[in-house]
Parts: sequence; C-alpha cells; structure tokens
Amino acid sequence: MQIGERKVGDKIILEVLESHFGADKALAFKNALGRHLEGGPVSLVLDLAKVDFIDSSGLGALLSVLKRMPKGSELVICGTKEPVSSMFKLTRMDRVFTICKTVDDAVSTLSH
Amino acid sequence: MPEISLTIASRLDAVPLLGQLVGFICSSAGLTPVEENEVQVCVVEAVNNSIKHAYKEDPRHKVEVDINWLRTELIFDVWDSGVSADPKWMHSDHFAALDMDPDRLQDIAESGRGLAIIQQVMDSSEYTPGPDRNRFRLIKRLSGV
Repeated sequence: MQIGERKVGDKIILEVLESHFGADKALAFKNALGRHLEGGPVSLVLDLAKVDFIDSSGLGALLSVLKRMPKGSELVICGTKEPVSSMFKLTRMDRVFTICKTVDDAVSTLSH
Repeated sequence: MPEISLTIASRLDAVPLLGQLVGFICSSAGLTPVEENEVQVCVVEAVNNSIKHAYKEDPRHKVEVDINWLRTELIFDVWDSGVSADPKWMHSDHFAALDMDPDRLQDIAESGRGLAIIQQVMDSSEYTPGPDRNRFRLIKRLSGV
C-alpha cells in the first residue's frame, strides 16, 4: 500500500497512491496508518484523489482508522472522485466522515 | 450478445484486474459511469466473499465469473467450489447493515456491507449452493432497451 506523506504545520497530509482501494489493500492501509494513531491527538487529512475504486473493505479500513484515532483527533477526507463519492453515499459513510473537495479545504476544516 | 468467462486464482490481489474487466464490459453495455462503478463494486464484493468466506483466503482455488450480456440485462454468475454460505442468510434483507448512528462511532461495524451494496445496486441476486460449486447470480437490467 503506497501512501504519500507530508506536513502542513502540525497537520499530516496522507495521500493514497493506489487507484484500487479494495480488500487486498485494507489490512496494509490500517497497518500503515497505525503509527499515526499511537500518540496523542492527531490532525489528519486523507487525500483520495488518486483512488478510482473503493469497495466495502476499503471503506471499512477507513472506518477502522477513524475509530482508532486518539481522543481529540480529527480526520478529514478530500479529493474523492465520483465513483468513490458515490460509494460513500451508497453506504451512508458520507454521514460518518468529514469530506472536503480539496486538500486546502480539508486543512482549513481542521480546527487545530 | 457475448457470453464471457473470467477466472482468477482465489487471491484478493487478483480481484482488481477482474473488477476492471467487469467495469469495461459494463461500460460497453451502455451503463453510465456511476452504474458501471456500482456494478463493478458488486461483482468485486461477490468475488471477495468467495475468497474470504468460501475459501478462507486459501489461494489454491479458482473463482469464475461468467458474464451473460443479454439485450435487456447483464447477468453475472460468480462461481466457487468452497464452503457454501447459508442461502437463507444470503437472501435475507441486509439493508440494516447500512443503518448507523454517526454519533455512536464505536458501534458502527467495520465490515458486513458487501451484501447490502449488492442488494441496493443490483436488480436481483440469487445464491445457489451446490454439492460441487456455489453460484451467486447478480443481475443488472440495462436501461433504455
């Protein structure tokens, strides 16, 4: 699972560098993000702009990360293309995650 | 109209390519890009179920997807020869898996949405366990015909 990482201030921007985010990538994704969830509160932006396909396992991996985030943490998703957005809507995950259009929007949305 | 058969090893990392081929066929059959993606997800979910549950992720098996492209519908038959699922459970209403309270995050299940997606997107689905092979049939009607 390839994930790009950079920082904007104390905010961490993670970019999923895979076009297919399915069951074969779900465990690797959860493991890759684990180290960001071990300390104190963290502010994460997850950029899905390169993802063309996501299934229920990919969504489940995102949910797993959200549930494991330390108290006071924030996660904002951005860059979702139409196929990915439609899966968030279809599974009603758009009610669970904060989703912004761009990375800049997502960074602005984070409160700290 | 063509009948197409695709076979992959029972490995999760073999599924993306199969999914892309299914997407291409859906597009060729005239589905919109959103429909194409949704049907692709459904077939991928069915194949994932075969690999995860019928074969317990043992990679030494095969999953076959037969695609029958008729004038009015696309029929996807997903075949495995692993442990059969309970047809009553497969045919039960799975929409409840999509019900959740966003304010109760820890109560939201991380898995179990695949069949709900299939029931929501496909026009019909039917699971038939067999002594040798199990078949999960997914049907999508083609609009405009």
